[in-house]
Amino acid sequence: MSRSPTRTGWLAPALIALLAAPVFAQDAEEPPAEAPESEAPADEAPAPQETPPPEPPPPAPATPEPPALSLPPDLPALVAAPSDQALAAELARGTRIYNSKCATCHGADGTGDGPSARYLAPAPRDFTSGLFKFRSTPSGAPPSDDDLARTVRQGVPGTSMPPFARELSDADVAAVVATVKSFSDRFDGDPVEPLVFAEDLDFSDAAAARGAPLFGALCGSCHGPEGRGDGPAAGGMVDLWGDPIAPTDLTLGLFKAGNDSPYDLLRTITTGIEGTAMVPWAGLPEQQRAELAAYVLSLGQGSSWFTSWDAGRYPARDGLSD
Amino acid sequence: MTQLCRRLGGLVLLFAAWMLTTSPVSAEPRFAARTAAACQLCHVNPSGGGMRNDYGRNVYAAHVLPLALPDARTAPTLDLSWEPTAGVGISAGADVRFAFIAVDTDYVIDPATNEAFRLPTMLSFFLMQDDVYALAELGNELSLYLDYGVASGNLESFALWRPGPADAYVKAGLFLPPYGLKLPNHRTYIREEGLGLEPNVRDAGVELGAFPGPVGVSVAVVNGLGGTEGLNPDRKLAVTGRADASFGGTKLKGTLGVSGWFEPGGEVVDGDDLRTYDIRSGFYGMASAGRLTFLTEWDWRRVSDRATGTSTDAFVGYNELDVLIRQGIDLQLFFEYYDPDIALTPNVLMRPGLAVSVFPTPNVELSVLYRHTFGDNNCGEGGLFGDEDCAQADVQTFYTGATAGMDEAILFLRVFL
Repeated sequence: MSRSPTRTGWLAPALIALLAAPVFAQDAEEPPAEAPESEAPADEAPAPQETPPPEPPPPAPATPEPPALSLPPDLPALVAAPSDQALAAELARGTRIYNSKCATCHGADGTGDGPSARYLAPAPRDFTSGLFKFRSTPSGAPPSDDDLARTVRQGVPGTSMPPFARELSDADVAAVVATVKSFSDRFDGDPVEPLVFAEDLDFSDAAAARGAPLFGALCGSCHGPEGRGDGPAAGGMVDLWGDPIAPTDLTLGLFKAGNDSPYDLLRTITTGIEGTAMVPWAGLPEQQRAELAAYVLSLGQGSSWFTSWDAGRYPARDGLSD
Repeated sequence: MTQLCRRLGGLVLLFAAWMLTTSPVSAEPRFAARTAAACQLCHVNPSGGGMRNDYGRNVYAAHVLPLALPDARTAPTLDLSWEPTAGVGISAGADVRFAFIAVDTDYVIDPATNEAFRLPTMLSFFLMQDDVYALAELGNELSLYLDYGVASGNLESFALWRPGPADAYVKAGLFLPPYGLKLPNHRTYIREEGLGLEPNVRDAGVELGAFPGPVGVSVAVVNGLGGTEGLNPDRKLAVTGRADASFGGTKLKGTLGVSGWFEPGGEVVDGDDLRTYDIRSGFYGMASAGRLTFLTEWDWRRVSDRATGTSTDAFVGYNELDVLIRQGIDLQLFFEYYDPDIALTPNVLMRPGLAVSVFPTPNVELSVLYRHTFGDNNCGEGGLFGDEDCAQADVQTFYTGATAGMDEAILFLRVFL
């Protein structure tokens, strides 16, 4: 099921090319017009002016023109990338951690059907599909490594996916991410650049107020006019994997993509949630999306102590989930 | 000497397997109520309790229960050859509960004279449980399970076959028969006094179960209590079981179930009249909303003697309200009810209680409990306390070891044997 890591199979030629580049560059350039600076101390007498310049070296035998170099623009990153052996070691480490921490839900093959899966809703992710709900990449693109690492670290609030931030070191998380990616060919291509959001977006109360009518117009049919997940289109929803789902009750203040920052919500509003009816709203102006995020955050601020403990973490045995 | 060293080495290996990845193991129905999931979400045993499985160990116990989440510095991952796809390996675990109990009994009924007398105040340490667990997984469907109480000698040992569909299972061996809520406290009336189904009772037999959708059903045929040593002394089998259905969704979720036990009674054997038959039935329920969880069970029991035509009906109840103060801290309120003979009045014991449980780390539960028993004087059966204050402090440490692959299993066997 797992694929072998081939992402750096061309790293060795690239490294050779990189090391060879100065040589070719020196050959290709004109010899320096000025004599090289003397390494002698400054107070030593300079060489006499009348000394004739040395004879130019005899022309080198004709050699084929060196091929034009076409170095990848991200060469520095490639140079820093781990070797095949290191990647294999990381994958082995990740597989051990995965088997210990993840396989009971996601299955040993990453198919999302581990022994605990039937009791959990939302169902554990099927990694072999390569589709992930929480991304910072544009709709249709696979998530970045940082996206996967973020989910491993902070979990998915309101579901049975726990945060592993304290339990796993950064290296452990990176190894698990490598293992998760190994289940799908969707990660074989070049990484997709994540979306970048402006840092000065307005998430203030005023922005939230401006987001309210927008929420009613765009989100109310599923999430309901008050954000309780009870909109007219909420019933009978299933996700791409055929599992029953329901729109999130936003008044609980528990957001799967993260609760740390309004940018967590902005990211989800922008990219949508792949495989569900939550579509990307990337076409909206960025500030309007920020206003939507601010309004959704304000809905969750009224959640009570009684309901605030991971409400909906585990629905009934065959129940729906947020 | 070499042989001794090998055996010591084997023990060290086994102990290391227990300790390196550890987590609490406990049968707590309130956790099942909060999750509205079957017991086997977290436990190896489909009936709940005992050794935890990977989810119970690595997810629920590590991340949902404790105040302090596990730290990368204290959660090493073993480099084992365990292959989940093959489902072959061995696991080990242990479970220790230690308590300090103070009991002040105003009076107790002397069954001989039916007179009340006062008992001295008891201050005592008490080892509630010291079980070791072992699990051999022989593939994805078949496993062998052992739960042995070192001090008590209690044994639960069975083969478990899970063919797959609807989480159906077949259990054969020695086990706690399925009935009602599986509570960790063996002193509850519904388990000890009322029904005699305390957690350390095992019986030999076969149990079948399945969990199709929101429904769970378990039925067992066992020797009848007391039949744990080979042949059933009264030569009659007992049938017991429970069935429940879960409901609800995000805001409210719960389970309603019924239980039954029928033991037809036997013959006159070696002069002992064993012709009494024993019927028990009742209902139980669990509900959870937000931070509140409620458990209840009410049972009726009739014990009849065919020879004399007399029978005794008892009625027993258990209620528990849990408040999750915050993750890792539970406040528990109890109310128990026991009428050992409903034909006699007044003849009722009631026992309210209050407990606080704290899970400071994934490996430890600390709890303090206070309960007061009050009721009528003529409770009939010996040993029942009429008016009693009981305070108890528990320290519980529960460990489930890592699952080792066959390579480690073979290595262990070679070294140890």
